[in-house]
Amino acid sequence: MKTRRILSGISALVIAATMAVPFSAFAEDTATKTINTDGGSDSTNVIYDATEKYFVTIPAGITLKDTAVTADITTSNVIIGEGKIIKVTLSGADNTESGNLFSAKNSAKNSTVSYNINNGTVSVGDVIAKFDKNNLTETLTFTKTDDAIPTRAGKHSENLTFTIGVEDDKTNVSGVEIDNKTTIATAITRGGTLNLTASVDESATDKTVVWSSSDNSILEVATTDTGVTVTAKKAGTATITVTATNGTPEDTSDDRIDSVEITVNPIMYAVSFSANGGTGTMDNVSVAEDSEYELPTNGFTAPTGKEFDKWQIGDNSYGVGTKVTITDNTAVTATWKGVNYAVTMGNFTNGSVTADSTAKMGDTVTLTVTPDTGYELDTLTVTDASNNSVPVTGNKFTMPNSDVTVSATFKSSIITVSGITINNAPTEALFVNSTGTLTATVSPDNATDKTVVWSSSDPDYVSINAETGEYTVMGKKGYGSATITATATNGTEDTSDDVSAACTITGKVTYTSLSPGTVLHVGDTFYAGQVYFATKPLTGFNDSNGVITLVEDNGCYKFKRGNNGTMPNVTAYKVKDNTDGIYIVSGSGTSTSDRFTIAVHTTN
Amino acid sequence: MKKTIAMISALAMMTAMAVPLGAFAEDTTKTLNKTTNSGTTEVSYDVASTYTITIPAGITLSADTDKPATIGAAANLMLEDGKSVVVKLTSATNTSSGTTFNAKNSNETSTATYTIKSGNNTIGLGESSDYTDVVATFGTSTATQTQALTFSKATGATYAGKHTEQLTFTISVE
Repeated sequence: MKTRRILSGISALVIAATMAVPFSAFAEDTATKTINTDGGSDSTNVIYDATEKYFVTIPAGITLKDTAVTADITTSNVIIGEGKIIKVTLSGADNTESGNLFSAKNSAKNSTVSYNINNGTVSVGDVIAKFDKNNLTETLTFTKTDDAIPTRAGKHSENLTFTIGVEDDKTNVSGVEIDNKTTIATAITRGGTLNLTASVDESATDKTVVWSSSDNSILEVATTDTGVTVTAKKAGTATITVTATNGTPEDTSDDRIDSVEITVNPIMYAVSFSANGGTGTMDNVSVAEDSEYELPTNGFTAPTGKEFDKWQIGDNSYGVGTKVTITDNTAVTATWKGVNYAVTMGNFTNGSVTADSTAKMGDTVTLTVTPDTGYELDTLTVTDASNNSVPVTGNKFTMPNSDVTVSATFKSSIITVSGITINNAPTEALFVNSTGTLTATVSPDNATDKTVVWSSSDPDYVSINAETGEYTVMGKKGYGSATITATATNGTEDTSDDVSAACTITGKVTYTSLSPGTVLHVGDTFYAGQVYFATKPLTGFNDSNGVITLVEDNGCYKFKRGNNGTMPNVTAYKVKDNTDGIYIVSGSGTSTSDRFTIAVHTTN
Repeated sequence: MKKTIAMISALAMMTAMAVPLGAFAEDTTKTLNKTTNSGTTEVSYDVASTYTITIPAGITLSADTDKPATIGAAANLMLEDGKSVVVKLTSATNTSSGTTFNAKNSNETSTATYTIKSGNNTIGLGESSDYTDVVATFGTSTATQTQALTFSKATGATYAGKHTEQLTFTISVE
C-alpha cells in the first residue's frame, strides 16, 4: 500500500513591500506570503493528508453441508474518511442472476444444489456488511435447501462475487411502500382526486420520496406536505410511482420504488328518452363522457296514426343508428310523423274509383268515381283495417289510422218504361185509305228511352209506320180490323222490360154493293165482290183485288185496286169542272155477264 | 432322462453408497482492499453417488432349455455426470477363463458345461476380444433398469446329482 505523507514545516516569511496575497490551502509548498514592513501577520497552513486504506477478508471457499455452515467477512487496518463506511456487496453469483435462492451446479450444469444465505435474507446485489472501524466481523450463514433436488452426484459449486467500496455512512432505504396500497381506490372518476402517502423504513438516512405518474395527461400528481394528491385528468390507466431516492435522485442505483396502477373512469352521463306523445318507456342509458353513443331503435309506442321519425337532441334531429358524442346528461326525444296508410281499391264492375294510393291519418281522401256508360254509382263504402266502416261524404272520407279498402258498386242508370197508353185510338171504323197518326204516352215520364214501336196485326187491313205511328187503313184484301200495338222497348232488343198497349182500327168501305144511282166520288171505296163495268176496255173487279177506290189520275177518274194499286186504263172518264165522280147508270149482279154501266157524274 | 443342475451365486445383492468427500477448495480466505475491491468465494457441495444393483441369488440350469436371469438397478440411481455403474463377472469357482463354465458335483467327478449371454453378448472370464466380462451397465436414472442374462442348457454331466458353480459379480463406477 502506497502511503504518502506530506510534512510541512513552517514556511519562510518573506517580507515584501506590497500588500498580502490571498493563499490557497493546497498551494504549492514553494509559494510564499509576504508581510510588509508595516508589521502585521499572516498564516501558513500545515497539511497532512492521511491516505485511505482498508482490508476486507472474505472466505475463499465454503463447503455446504447438510447442516448450516458459517463464514466470516472481516475488516482490518481501516483508515477511511470520517462519516464514511466500507460497504461489502454480494454483487454476483455464477448461477444465480437474482433473488435469494442460490444454485450450486455440477460442471455439466445439469444438476443443482440450492442454498440460501442468512436464511434467505440476502439476495444477489444486497449489501451484506458495512464496516466503519477495524476488526469487525460479519458472519454469513449458508444453508443447503431442498428447493432443488440434484440429479447427478459429484461436486456442485457456485462462485459468489463480493465487491467492496467506501461510501458515505448512511443507511439507504430498504424499501418504500405506498400506504394502504391494498385498500386504496384503484379506480376513480375523472375529475376526482386521491391522496396517497408512502412509508420508508425508519432507519433510512434520507426518507425523501418522489412521486410520478406514468401519464400526466391521465393522472396528475401534486406533492403535498404529507404525500401526493393524484388528480384524474382523463379516462385511462396510469401508474403512480413513488421513488425513495436516498436523497440522490441522480443516482438511481439505490432507489426503491413502489407503484400502484390507477384507472380513471370517465364521468358517466345519463341519456334519457322522451316519448313525446307516444307511450311506453325506454330505460336511461349510462354513457361515458366524450364517447360515441349510437342512437337506438325506437322503443316507444307511437301515437295513434303516427310512426317514428327521428330522434331529437336539442335542435338537431338524428336517425336511428347515428352516433352522437355524449358530453353531458342528454335528453333524447322521439319525433313522430304521420303513417302513410294504404288506400286499396276493390274490384269494380261497370265503373271505376280512383284515389291517392296512400294517405295519412286525418287526410281528406277524394274518391274519383267514374261509372261506365249506362251506369251510375250505386254504393261507395270505405272500410278500415278492422273492417269498420269509414264515413264517406261527397265521395270523400277522412283517413283513419289504418289502411282502408274502397268498395263500390255501380248500377244501371237507365229508367225503364213502366207503362204506355195509346192516346188517340179511333173509336169507330175508318174508311179504307184513311190515314192518321197514333200517339202514345209512355210512363214514367223520365224513362230513359221512351221510344215506341208500332205494329199492326194485319197490315193488309191497317198498315202503320213502326216509328211514327202513321197508319193507313188498307184495302189490299178487302177491309177489316187490325190490332195496332204500341210497344215501349227501352230502346233495347231485350223484350223482357217492354211494355205495350193496343187498339183496334177497323176499316170500312163506302159501298159494299153497287146499284144504279150510286154516285162514286173520288175517294169512295167499294168492296162488292164481282163487279164488271161495261166500259172500254172492259174492266172487272173482284174481292181479290181488295177494296176499289175511285181516284183521279191525270185528269181522269180511275178505279184503283186495293191489292196492288193498279188502275185499269179507264180513260174515258175525264174529270171536268162539272163532274164529281162516277155515276152508276145501270146494272146489277156479279157474274161476268152482268154489267154495270157507269158514267161521269156531273154536278149540273 | 432330465437332469437338473443348480448353481448358487455368491452375491445376492450389492449396494454401494458414495461417501461425501471433503472440501474441494481450501477454506482459506481472500483479502480485498482499495485496489482489489472484489473477489469470489466458491460455495460447493458434493452430492454422493447412490445406486443399488441386484443380481440373482441362484440359477437352476436345465438340460433341455436355456434359463433367463436378470440383473437390475433400483430406481433413482444417481452418479456423477458421465459416469456409469458397471457390473462384471470377475470369477467362477470352477472356471478360470473362457466362455464355457463348469458346474461340478460335490466329488468333482462330473462336470456340466454351460454358457452365459448378456443380451447378445457372450460373457467370459479373462481378457479376449471374442467376449466380455461386462454383464451390465447402468447410468443415472430415476427409473428401474434391468439387463437380461441367458444361461444355456447344461451338457456333459457324467453323474447324476447336483452340480454347482459360484459366479462372482463385481460392480464399479466408471
